[in-house]
Amino acid sequence: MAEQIKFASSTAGDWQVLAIEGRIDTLTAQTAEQEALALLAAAQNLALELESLDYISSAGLRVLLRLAKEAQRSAKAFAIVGVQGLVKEVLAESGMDELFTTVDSVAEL
Amino acid sequence: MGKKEKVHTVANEKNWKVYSATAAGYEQMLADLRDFTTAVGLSAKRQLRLELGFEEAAVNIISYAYVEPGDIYMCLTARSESIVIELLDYGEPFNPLTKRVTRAKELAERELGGLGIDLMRRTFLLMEYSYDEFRGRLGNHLTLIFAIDEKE
Repeated sequence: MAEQIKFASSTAGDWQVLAIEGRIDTLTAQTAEQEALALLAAAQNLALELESLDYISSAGLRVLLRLAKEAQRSAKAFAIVGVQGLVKEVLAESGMDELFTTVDSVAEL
Repeated sequence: MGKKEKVHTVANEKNWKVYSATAAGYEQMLADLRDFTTAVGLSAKRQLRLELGFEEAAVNIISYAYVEPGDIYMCLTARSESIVIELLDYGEPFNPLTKRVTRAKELAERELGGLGIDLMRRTFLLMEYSYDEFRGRLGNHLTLIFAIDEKE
């Protein structure tokens, strides 16, 4: 089974935006974390654009938490953009939506 | 000598499939689950929800059941309104359903202990654990029942 995750990066003002498409699960979490941490290291602020993310498990939630902690440690801002469907449900159920800055679109960053 | 407990034997032992308790084994289990739920006609939305609960359960077993390489067994059953997933391993007796859930306010301070079990509880109608005899040995037997249609 091929890894079901794709990345695309862009900038919006002083934000680096990493769009993640597909799934962040046990099989893809490490790849997602490495991709996002590398971008965060070079960024002023990091936003994950998750509009096309269909699935996230606790392995993915751990990635989000590590990114938020790393951003805080580096005095950078971290935000999540455009969650929907199951991803939105899981963030709410876990209480994660209270821990991160979440906005509906990149324009709101 | 302590009181001897009655041993329950897993029913329908022939309908189970065995996988290695590894990432590769998990991928094959997920592929088989998808084939099964496609045949049942599960909606795409419910499919994702089922995969979430299944991943949390299966990966927990794969990650923690064995010190040495071991196997995980799976049996899938379709009922009129639900799908039953049974998982079994021969690791040390361990009931994952008793794991403590970490709540949101604790998340920023510590690791996400118990988050997976919380997602399982939110996914399945019913979860049962028992330590049962299966093919001549005692094993951890987890039964997960999932509603085919979302309850309002």
